[in-house]
Amino acid sequence: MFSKRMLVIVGVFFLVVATIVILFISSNRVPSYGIGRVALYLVAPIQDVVSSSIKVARNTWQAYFMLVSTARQNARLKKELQEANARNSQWHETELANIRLRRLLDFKLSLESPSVAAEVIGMDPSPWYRAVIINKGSNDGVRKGLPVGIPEGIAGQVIDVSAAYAKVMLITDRNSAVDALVQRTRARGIIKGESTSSCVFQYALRKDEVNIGDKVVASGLDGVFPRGMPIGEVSGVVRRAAGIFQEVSVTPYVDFEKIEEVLVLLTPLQDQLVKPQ
Amino acid sequence: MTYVFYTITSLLLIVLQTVILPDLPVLNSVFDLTAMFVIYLGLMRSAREGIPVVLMLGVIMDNLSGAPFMVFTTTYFWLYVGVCWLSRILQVGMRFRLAVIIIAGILLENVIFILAFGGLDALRQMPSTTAGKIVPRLLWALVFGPILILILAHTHRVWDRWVRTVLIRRSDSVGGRAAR
Repeated sequence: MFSKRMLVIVGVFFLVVATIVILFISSNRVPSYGIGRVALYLVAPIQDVVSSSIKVARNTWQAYFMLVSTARQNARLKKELQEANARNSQWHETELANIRLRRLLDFKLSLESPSVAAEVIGMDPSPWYRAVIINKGSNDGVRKGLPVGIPEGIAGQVIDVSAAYAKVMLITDRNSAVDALVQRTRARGIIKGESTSSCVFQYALRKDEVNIGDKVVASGLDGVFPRGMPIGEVSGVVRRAAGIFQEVSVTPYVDFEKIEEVLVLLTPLQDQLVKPQ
Repeated sequence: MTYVFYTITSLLLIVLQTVILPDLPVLNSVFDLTAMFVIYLGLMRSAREGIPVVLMLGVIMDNLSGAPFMVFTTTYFWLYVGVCWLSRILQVGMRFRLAVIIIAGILLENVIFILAFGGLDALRQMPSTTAGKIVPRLLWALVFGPILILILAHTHRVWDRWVRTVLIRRSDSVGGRAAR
């Protein structure tokens, strides 16, 4: 009755009309009476799970990369901190060395005789003797017998010299002796080492007034150490009932445990005394 | 080649004792490390090897110390002789024997030093100072002495093995070249 072509045209027409009707109805927001919400009940949880999983995965991925980069950053920062600490420590050491060397320079300028600064590079291997090795020798004008000091006071005397190094016997060594006097009362005596951190002021007459806290300086009469060069402070006095001398202990101004730089006086006092003649 | 080992070890111990340890607050009163090396030589090596090293070590220490010259050389020589003698006499378990020899060695060293230092007068004049110097060193020696000696013995064994391997390899290569 109808041709096939006619049926297709009618079908398309009905579909177009139906679409228009549906669009018209839906544009008026007619409720779906629960049917439309089935999808929400069934699909949304899955969507939620999948979406959450993707989010977790994405977050994990990002966090992993962030962690990797944070770990790298952490390692870099740690390294930088270590370097900064090392630099800081070096600067601190340089600052301290600067202070010490400035004081040594001031001391050097205050001396009349020429002098050479040296670094202490080794300590005495024996606990019974007190000597240090310095990094200046005969090439720098250092000779046996020259006095050695630091701004705080007398350190010792050169006892052995090679081309580039020298051995200095400290005033705390038992074999050391320095002619000295108490600055306040001019009481004379000899500063002898005890191979401990202190010295004794020997041959101080009993009648001489020596009190704890008195400053002991070099007398210059030994021909080695310049007159007035500080040695130490009286830390103990014992006057026995008998005898002509008193026992006096002296704590040197120089801390021999921490001594790092010294100044070798290149012209000993005896040479200076000979010159004017 | 074994003298190369002795030279390197001596230098290391001397530098450790005179430069590094004095800067460390607790270890600055540690025992004489080179004396421990002398004890090791007396205990474990032959006199032919030991005596030249002991004398060389003594001369070096004499040069570095403010002590009168030859004090260290004499002390180390007698320490070496004493250790050799003690090691023959003592027939007890190794650990105990080692501890006794170390203590006796360090005591002997310090007695010789005291005698050189000013005779018995010095000991009489300052017993507290003397005790203050000797006791901590004895304790250090008792704790670390055996360990140091065992380390020295082990290192020496490793060194000998290494030298032997190098020498064999070299002789093989020379022999191979000659055969060609």
